[in-house]
Amino acid sequence: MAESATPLVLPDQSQEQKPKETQEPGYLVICWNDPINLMDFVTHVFQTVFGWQRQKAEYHMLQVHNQGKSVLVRESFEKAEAYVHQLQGYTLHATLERA
Amino acid sequence: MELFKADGQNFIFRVGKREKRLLEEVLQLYPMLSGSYGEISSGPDDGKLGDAQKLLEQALAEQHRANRQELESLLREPTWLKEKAGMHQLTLSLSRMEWLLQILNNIRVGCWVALGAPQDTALHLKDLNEKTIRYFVSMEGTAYFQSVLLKALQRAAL
Repeated sequence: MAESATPLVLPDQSQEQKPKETQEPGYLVICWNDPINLMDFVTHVFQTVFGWQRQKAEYHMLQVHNQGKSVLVRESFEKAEAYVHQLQGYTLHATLERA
Repeated sequence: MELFKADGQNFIFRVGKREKRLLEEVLQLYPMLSGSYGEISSGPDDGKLGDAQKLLEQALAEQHRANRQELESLLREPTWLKEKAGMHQLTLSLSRMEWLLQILNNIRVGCWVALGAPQDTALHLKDLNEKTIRYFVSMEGTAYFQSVLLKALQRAAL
């Protein structure tokens, strides 16, 4: 991910949203790192698509940047597919995988 | 380009003459990526993914067509980058800002792909030629415009 200097504070892990319990394992929406999308842009997209607070969006953006990918949500196939459409509409490298 | 005024609904930016030229040249490149750029999944196909991939490609292609039409009509609007006191004024609603960010990022990522998707985006001039320098300038130019828009949105959120 392209660098941009913003001071960041990681959220308390215990406050992270737990995966939804569903009858089937569901699908993971994953965002992958690339060297072109601006860090602030990725944070903004996460806030817009998932309605997250900036702190949570930054946490996942940094996970993408530092670890190469971040699992954003676990959802039904249809919802996961819709999220991937939205994220790819912003030209982020996002995919869905069976959980 | 700098934020001049924001009233919660609209954002007004002041744009210099050279910035106006760069912005208009960059926007002409849209869409730089086709609908088939995105992969729905990198995992094994469980039977659902083939159709999902086709659907994604169709959705992105349709989005690009609609965005291109909207972009062309925006560029024809008389208020688009209207000149005022030696500067140009760009007025964008919140939804237009969001839309423009998508447009600019498609161009930025598309230029990067056209440059061979280098891991180090800080390319050297010696690596560029007459054809690729346009992509490099556009890639850097879109980042500049995106940063200004994102800062304005962050300011509005405070």
